[in-house]
Amino acid sequence: MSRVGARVELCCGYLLHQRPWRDTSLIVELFTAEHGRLTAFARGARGTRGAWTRYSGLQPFRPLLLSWTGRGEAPTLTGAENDGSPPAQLAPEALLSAWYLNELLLKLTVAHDPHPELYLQYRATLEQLRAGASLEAALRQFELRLLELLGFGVELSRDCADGSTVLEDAYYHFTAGEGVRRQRPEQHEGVSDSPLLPGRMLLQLTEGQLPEDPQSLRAVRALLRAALDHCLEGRELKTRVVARAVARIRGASA
Amino acid sequence: MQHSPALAALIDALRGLPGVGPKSAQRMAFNLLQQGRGSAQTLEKALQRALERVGRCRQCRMLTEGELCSVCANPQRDAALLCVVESPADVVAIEQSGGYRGRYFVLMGHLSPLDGIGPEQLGAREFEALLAAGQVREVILATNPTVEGEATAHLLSQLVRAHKLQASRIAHGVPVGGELEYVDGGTLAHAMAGRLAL
Repeated sequence: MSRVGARVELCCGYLLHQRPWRDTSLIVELFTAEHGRLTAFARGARGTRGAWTRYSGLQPFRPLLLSWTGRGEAPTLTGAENDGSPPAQLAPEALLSAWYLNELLLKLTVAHDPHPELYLQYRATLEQLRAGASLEAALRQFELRLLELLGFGVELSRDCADGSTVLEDAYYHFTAGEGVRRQRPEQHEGVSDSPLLPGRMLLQLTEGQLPEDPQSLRAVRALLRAALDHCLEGRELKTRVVARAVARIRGASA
Repeated sequence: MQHSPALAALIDALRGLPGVGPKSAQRMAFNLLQQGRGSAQTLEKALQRALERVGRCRQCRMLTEGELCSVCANPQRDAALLCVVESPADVVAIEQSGGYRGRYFVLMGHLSPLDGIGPEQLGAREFEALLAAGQVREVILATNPTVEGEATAHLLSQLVRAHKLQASRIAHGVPVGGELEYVDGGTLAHAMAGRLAL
């Protein structure tokens, strides 16, 4: 196997997911600044001492410097080290949210397709979580940017029925895969189950601004969730299921 | 050269074992079928017996033949101390260290949301039942010091506290006989934070 020209040294990236492979190795999913998402083999990453130092930094949610060699779909990871930033841990409460980000990236990005802006957004979102920012706002911001940057293009500034600009004082319904549609005065209620969204809020969302009051934030959450579910094409997000189970336990023990 | 179907099936089955590649599988199969025929029969019987009889301990989920494993059934063990670990291999490791006299709870994994492994898959219900039974006073969370292990420990600690019991986490730090220079930053930070007064 020729490996000439297929060596990458010290590329900034994150570990998204890992699963055991054979006796002592791992299959890792990485998200890198320059090469996008990729799958690699970390040979001997479990167990033996030598590999332990080579892959010492291989933990999720920490900025890493990754090196790999090999062409094709799954190269071999030759090194994973901490990028020198202090090893600040995510608070346990934020971990489920961070895993949710990882699952979105795994399911919605295409391998070997660089997304430098999405990478920066991911890094910034993890920093927000680490700094103890509001989980809700950080996640919605990430979802919004993800949809925009991956070209799933959720058009919130134009009415999908007639292409007219969204008006600040009008109210709209959102349908995944189509867009927003103005609530006509003659069709009062019951056109759709989706909540009514003020035009002002939609216009702010297109500029990346999230509303602050909890009720509007819930409406945004429902909107983004419907849009993401549409992109996922029926695939279930496992982190959501687990998050619900964990919330049940936390609720019961609170 | 092609193996006969039965031989090929045996080699394939052996390859499913951890640490066994095609070469070793072939060597094992040849050995079992030539000089080791007697031991092959012993292996067959042992395997069958184990498959039929070995299940999980009702209380701690450890592999065992009876209702209760030898640790849970032993009246000498301290029922007030409960050590939570990820796998049966961890139980064996702690038992060999020799310093622990309490009981165990084996999760058979760790929290891994991307694989769909949540509290229910880890036996959170059985764990709660054990806490509710009232014998336990302190729970030692000995999951691995990985992100998943920490998340698991945190979640279980909430359950423990809800039962008004004490939860503790095993210490992380510099390995015995190690040198500071070669310890990674994360471990060293933990070791400094968890220092002990002399």
